[in-house]
Amino acid sequence: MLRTEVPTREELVRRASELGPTLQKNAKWAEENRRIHDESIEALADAGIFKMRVPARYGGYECDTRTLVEVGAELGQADGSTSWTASVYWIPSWMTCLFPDAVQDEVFSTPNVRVCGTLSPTAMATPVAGGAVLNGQWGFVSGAWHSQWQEIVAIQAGPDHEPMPIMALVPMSDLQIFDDWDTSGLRGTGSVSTIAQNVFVPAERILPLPAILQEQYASQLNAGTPIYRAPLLPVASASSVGTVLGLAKAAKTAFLQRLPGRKITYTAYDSQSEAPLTHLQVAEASLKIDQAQFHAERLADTVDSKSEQGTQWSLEERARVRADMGAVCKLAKEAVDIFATASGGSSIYSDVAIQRISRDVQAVNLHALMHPNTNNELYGRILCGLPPNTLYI
Amino acid sequence: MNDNLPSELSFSLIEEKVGEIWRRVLDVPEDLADATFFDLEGESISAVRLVSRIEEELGIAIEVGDIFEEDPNLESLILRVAAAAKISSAA
Repeated sequence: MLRTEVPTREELVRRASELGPTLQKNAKWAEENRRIHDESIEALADAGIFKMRVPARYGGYECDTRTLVEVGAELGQADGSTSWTASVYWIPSWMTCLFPDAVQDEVFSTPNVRVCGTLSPTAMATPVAGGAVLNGQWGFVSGAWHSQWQEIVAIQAGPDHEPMPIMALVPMSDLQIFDDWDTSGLRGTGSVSTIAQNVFVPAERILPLPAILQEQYASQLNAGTPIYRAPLLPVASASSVGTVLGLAKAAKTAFLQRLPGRKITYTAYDSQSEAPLTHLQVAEASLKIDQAQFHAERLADTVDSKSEQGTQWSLEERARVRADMGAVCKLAKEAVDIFATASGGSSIYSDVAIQRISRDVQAVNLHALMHPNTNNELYGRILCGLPPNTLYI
Repeated sequence: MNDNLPSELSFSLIEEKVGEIWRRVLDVPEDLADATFFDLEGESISAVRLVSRIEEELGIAIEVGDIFEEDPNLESLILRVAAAAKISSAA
C-alpha cells in the first residue's frame, strides 16, 4: 500500500514537545500513583513514540539512536518518569528485533506494542522438551503495567547443561506483578517486580545471551538494517541518556521560570537574579548541561555511524560509550544539584517541579549500568590495558 | 499493523477519512463546518492525534507543523493530506 516517508527526526522531536503539557499535567499524579497515567501512554502512542524502533515492515520508523537522544531529551523536559519509561520500551523493542522473524511477527502484531524488560539474570530456566520453564523474579521492570510482553534474562541450567544466561520473550499474561515500587525517585515509572512461576517458554522465543553479546542475532529480515546491527550495551546506553539530559534541561527551565521576583531570604538581595552567586551558579550549571549534551551526542553518533558502516567495535569504543553515558549522568546530576540548591525553601513543596527533578536524577545515577563510577572504572581499566570486569559491555 | 491501510487511495477516500478523524479528534459541533483548528480550540495533543490518526488510517505522513503553522479548516487539511499523498483533487 502507498506509504509516504516515515516522520523525520525533527517531526518526532516536535511531536514530543507538543506532548509536554499533557505529560507535565500528569507528572504529580504519576508520582502519587507510582505509575504512568493511561492518558500519557495514549499520548505517547499517538505521537508514534512506541513505533520508533519497530521495523518498517510492521509500520515502524526504524529511528537511529541520535533521534532517541533528542526525543528522550524533549520528553525528559516534560517529566522524567514518563520519558524514562518511553526510553525503556525502546530497548526491549529493539531486542525483539534480534529474535527470529516469526517471533517478531507475533510480538509486533499488536499495534503500538510495549515490551518491558531488564538484563539482570535473577530467575532460573529449566530446559524441557521444546523450550524451558521459568521460575523467579525480576526487579526494576519499568513500564510493566502498560506492557504486553517482557524481555527476560534467566540462568538456564539442567542435568546435562552448563549454566548459561538466556534471553527470552514472555507475554505479560504469563507473569504476575508484585507492586513493590515505592521509591524516592522515578516513582512514576512503575518499575515493579514481575514473577514467573513454572512459565513455559517455547525454544523459538529463547536466545543465548552470550551470542547476543557478540552480535550473533537470529533475524534474517533485519540483518541488513543498520540500526539492528549494533551491539546491545551501546544501544541500551544510547537509548537511556536522552531522559537524563532532559532532566538537566528541565531543572534549568524550572529555575529560570521561578527566578523573576525571587529574593534571597534573610539577605540584602531583593532580587536573586542580581546576585553574583546566582550568575556563577547558572553559568556553571549551563556549561555542565552543554558538556552532558556533548557526551550524549558522541555516544549516539558512535553507535549510528558504526552501524551505518557495519564496522567492528573495539573494546575501547565499547567502554567509551559507557563512559559517555556515565558522564551524561554525572554532569546532569551536578547541574540539577546547583539549580536545586539555588531554588530556596519553597522548592521542597511537591507541586514545585525541581524537587521531583532532583530526586529523579539522583535515582537514575544509581542505575547499575549508568552509574558514573561503574562506567569510569570500566573505561579506565580498558585504557590501562586490563580486561573488562563485566560481561555487560 | 500495515494491513488495515486502504489498498487504493483516492481523493474521495481521503476526504471521507480525514473528515471522520477531524470530527472525532476535535469533536466538531455541526454548525462549525468550516471552522479552523484554533477556532475549535485545538491544543497540542489534538494536533499530534490528528497527525497520528491520518498516518495510521491512511498511511500518509503529514507534520504537526502543518496543523500549527497553517491552522487549517477541514477542507484545507484534506488538500494538504492529498498533496502529501501526491493525489490531486481532480482524480
